[in-house]
Amino acid sequence: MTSTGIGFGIDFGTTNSVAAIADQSTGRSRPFTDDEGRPHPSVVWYHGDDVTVGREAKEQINRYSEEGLHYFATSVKRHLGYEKSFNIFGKERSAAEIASEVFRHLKTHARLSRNEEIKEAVVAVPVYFDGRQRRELRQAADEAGVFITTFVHEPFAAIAGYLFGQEPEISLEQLDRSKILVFDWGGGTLDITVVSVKSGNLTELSTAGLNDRAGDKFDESLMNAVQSSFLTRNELNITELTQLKSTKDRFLVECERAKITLSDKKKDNVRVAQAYQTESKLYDIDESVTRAEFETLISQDIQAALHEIDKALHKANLDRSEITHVLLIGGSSNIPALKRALADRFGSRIKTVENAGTIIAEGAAIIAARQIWPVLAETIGINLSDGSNYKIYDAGTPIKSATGYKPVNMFCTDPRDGQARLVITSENNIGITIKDNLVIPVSPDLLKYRNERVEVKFRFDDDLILHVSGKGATKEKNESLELFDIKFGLYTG
Amino acid sequence: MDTNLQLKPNLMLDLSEKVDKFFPLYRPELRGQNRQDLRYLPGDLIGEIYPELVDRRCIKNNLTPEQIEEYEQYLVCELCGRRCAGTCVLD
Repeated sequence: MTSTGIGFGIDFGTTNSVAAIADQSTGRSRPFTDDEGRPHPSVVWYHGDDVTVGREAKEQINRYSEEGLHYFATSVKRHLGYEKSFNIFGKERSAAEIASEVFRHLKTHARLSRNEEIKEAVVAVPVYFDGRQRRELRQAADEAGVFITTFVHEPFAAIAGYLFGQEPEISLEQLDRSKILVFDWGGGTLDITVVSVKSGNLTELSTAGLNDRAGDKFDESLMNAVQSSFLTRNELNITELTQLKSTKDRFLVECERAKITLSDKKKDNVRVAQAYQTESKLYDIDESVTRAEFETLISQDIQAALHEIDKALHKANLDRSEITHVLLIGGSSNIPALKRALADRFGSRIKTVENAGTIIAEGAAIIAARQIWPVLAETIGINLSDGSNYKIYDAGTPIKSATGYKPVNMFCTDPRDGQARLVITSENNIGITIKDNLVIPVSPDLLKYRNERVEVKFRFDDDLILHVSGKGATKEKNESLELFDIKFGLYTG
Repeated sequence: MDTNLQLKPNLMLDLSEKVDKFFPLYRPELRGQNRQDLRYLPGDLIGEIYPELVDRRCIKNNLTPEQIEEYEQYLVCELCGRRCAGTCVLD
């Protein structure tokens, strides 16, 4: 976020990542896509002392992945937050270190191709990303020289991109009390989120999704189908053929291209030159695929996706008719069979966007340019010894590290066991839930004269992690804990 | 992480009210010690540290009903000789 109204947003995805810029004065946002106009694959290729990231890395995976001097790191986002490290040519590299290469690639690409320097950005994360994962993501960005001003949930960024990226802009007042279902089907995952809009606040009501049934899997299904069709037509057996090292990469790239084309055209050809060879002959693949054939291949995945929608609605205790908008984003949402199935269920409430693959990054950039902050989606409090609940932060409080510090002076009502017990709660429309307990040592000896005072401090950090610490007046050591799963929404008013 | 393991909290807000007497304290040395927090102590604990406050002639004035219940739960029963909280007569 800058004072000039220019903001950068980054969508760090499991399979693809992209950065974007937004200018508040013009209301325009622009993604930094690669030379093909698509997001950058989140693939990091280590070869010798060099590191290559993006499409060039993705297109070499199968060619070199079995050779000792090449290491490909894919889907690194899934490993963030677990303190996982990878042995790359004898050197231990953390997931954050690998992820930093993706950030570095996005930053370098923006500088070289668009002459824009990304120094700070709002980064979109999935709703299920907890504080540990956000912390490692920040480390990754820091290593690449990108300061994360704040995090935003991906579906909220998509909604911001949809509402504020329109001409004329749609205001949230028009959508007050509506329920938006964000259907994000990308390359690696399907993420469905039901979002409530109330008085300018976006809060998540429920989530559902699929982990391994998305665009990349469709490419492989199409590749297998084309391969069988090729073998049958030429009366060949796969065991008789030798596959060139680069065949699988080229085959997958071609299948991905055909898959995208089949969203607009009814028929396309998958062509891979010199894909296989026998002792005497080289074979090229040139098979035609129709949209109907492709849709049959993935029909079970589409059914599974529709089932996930029902699951998300059930969790949110909502009926289909209560959903006012269904926002389709992610590359796989362009599949016509999916659009038809959704239109049967939601009719004209389906909203599609042209920039489905980059809308999250653009939304995050708009959030950065407008200086919108995340807000608490639940009230955080503590249980007192008399059974009452004392509020520390109200729902709707903006989460900024500078304003999030709150000390509370307390005393221990029964220190006979030498322990003061702090019970931290969260409260939403369903009720009060216990978040965690903190046991603080106190002295039982003071009892005759005075109950021991206990100072409890609450603080949010930039990763939206709540730190709670407590210290008895007679003790020197602080006891502390971190709450990683605080729910946050977005206030756009 | 939401947890289903709930400890009984034993912390209360320290509002630092300058109240000299919430209880009619008989011991003059306790006056001025600002023990307004006594109202939040468990009854059995008050019985341990201030036996005069739980004298049966004045206990109702000194302790809240919850504190009296807590205090009585820990009395040694004259019938069975245990801390039975009156349950021995039910056997």
